[in-house]
Amino acid sequence: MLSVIGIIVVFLVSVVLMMRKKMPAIIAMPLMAILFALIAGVPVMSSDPETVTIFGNVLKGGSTKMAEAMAGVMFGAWFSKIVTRLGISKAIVQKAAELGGDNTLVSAIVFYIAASIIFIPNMSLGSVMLVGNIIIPIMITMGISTVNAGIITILACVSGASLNVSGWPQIVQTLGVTEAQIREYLWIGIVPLYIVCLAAIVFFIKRDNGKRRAAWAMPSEETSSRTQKVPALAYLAPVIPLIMVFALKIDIIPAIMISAVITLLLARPKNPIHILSSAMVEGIQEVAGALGLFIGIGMLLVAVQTPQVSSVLTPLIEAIIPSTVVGYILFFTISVPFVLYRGPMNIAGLGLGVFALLVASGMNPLGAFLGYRVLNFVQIMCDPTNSFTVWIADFTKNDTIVYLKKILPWAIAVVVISLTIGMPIVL
Amino acid sequence: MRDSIPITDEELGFRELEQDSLYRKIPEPMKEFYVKESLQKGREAAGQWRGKRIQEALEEKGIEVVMKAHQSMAKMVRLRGEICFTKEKSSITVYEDSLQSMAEACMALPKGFSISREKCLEVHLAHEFFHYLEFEEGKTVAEKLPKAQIGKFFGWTRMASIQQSSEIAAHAFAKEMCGLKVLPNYYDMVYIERQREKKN
Ligand SMILES: [Zn+2]
Repeated sequence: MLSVIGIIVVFLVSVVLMMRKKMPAIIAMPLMAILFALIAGVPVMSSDPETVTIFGNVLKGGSTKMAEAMAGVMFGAWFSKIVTRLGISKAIVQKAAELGGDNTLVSAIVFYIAASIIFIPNMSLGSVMLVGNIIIPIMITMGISTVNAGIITILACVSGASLNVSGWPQIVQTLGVTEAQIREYLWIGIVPLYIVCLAAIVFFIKRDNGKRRAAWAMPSEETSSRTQKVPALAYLAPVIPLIMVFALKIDIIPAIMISAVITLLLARPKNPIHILSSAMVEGIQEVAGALGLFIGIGMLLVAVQTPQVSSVLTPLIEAIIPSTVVGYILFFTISVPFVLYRGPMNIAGLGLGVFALLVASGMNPLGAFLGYRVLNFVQIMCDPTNSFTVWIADFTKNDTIVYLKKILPWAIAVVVISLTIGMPIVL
Repeated sequence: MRDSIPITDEELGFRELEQDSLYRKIPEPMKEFYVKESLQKGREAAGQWRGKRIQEALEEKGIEVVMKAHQSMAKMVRLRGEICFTKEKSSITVYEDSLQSMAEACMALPKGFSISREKCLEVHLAHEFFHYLEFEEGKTVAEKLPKAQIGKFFGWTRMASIQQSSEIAAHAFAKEMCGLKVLPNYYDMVYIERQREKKN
């Protein structure tokens, strides 16, 4: 009983510290792993190699537990850097601007689609800055309000990320679903997401009708420098990994490697070897934070799976795991607020650990997978602490809260629709 | 090294036109037309307000001015000001950090080009006020000028208006209203140049 209270206290204190930005998840995770294990009575070390220990299992084994997930994000970032380096992202944006012409709504939708495509391989602060720097001022010049230009960019972030394949290994490792299952059920969250995003864009642009707006936006390096010449076929680059994984059913990492080679063949740069190698280094730098997080999550995963901790936690978590379709839908809908502000259900923080815990304690893996997907969407769309959201808010001179308020109702719509359609199918 | 910052209206107008998302699609001979016509439209509009200060003009039209302080963490200024026009009540928003950046950009400039912070505010207001006039009239400069042919598929031609024409006209208007030596986008370019020097 005492250990139950101890673990709950550690969990709650960590949540509060993380939400108040007193402690980043990257530190909180391994700390929680150690404290959970200590409280439940896992020995620190042992001369018997069969004994589960904090040193041997939680720390040593845990640090490499998420190795596949780590490789996934590294390769994803590498590929995305290659695409950027070749000037493909910029060329796509430029083409979108020309396609959109002078019609506000058409341009908004074209920019949303183009940015989504660019964000598919990697939706990081770097790529959001690259794209946002170009499309936001253009949209504003066309009379779209600064807030709406920011909303369109954020919706593109979530739409692109929804098709990212380099995050799949982490889903496989934490939720215990297979890549084949991900392929089969991916559409459930995605279709409502795209429909809702498009509806939101039409709604926001139409509601602005009757008002006319203009802004004075300064030029920047990005907009003024000439775009590199890119062969038309190279525009497909961001979706090549997707085709590999879906149509050819190739594993994630080989799929990304093959995609990189194909992209180089399509774009034919002068120095392909240099691009491959420097993109690898820069890409890994960009995901360094995620890698650190995976180390902590791995430790937490091992800790909660030790017999000592799981015997303490399982009865507790079993009590809150839903058992019916409606129960699952309610469970994840109620979880929505806990995603925000680095809350306990935030996938970029504690959330992944919580999901692993839920599944380890008997939650249906596919049910958890659907919940994971939609809550991940909510996080990208709404969490005001996302680095790219902070950047977009800064760029458009609005408060991050403005974006939260405007987008949250749409995000909830995605959650409810997806779960209502999906849960009866997967459970 | 980049080419130095131009000072003539035509050259500065051209730099503004280059910012247009359709710039690459504008037929070459039309480019000069857009710059010249837009400058002309801005100057004409300013002619009607000769002898009036911009603050008086705003008061006359009942336009509200909002000063917005925004502490940019990235030290990045890309937006200077904004106008929201509705039939009932229009408002102009000016960003404090934009004023600051424009005033700072002026510090190293030779006499005559350098303008006071107060003048910077007037430039911002005049620029947005020009858009107000466009909206009040119902047609922006970009909409008034003939559209450019930006594409051709199977005999169907695609036409689009060139949004940046309005910007060029607004700059020309602000230059006349505030008695500047150069189009205000000169200060954009000085600022960007200085940012680049700081980085290196
Ligand atoms: Zn303007």
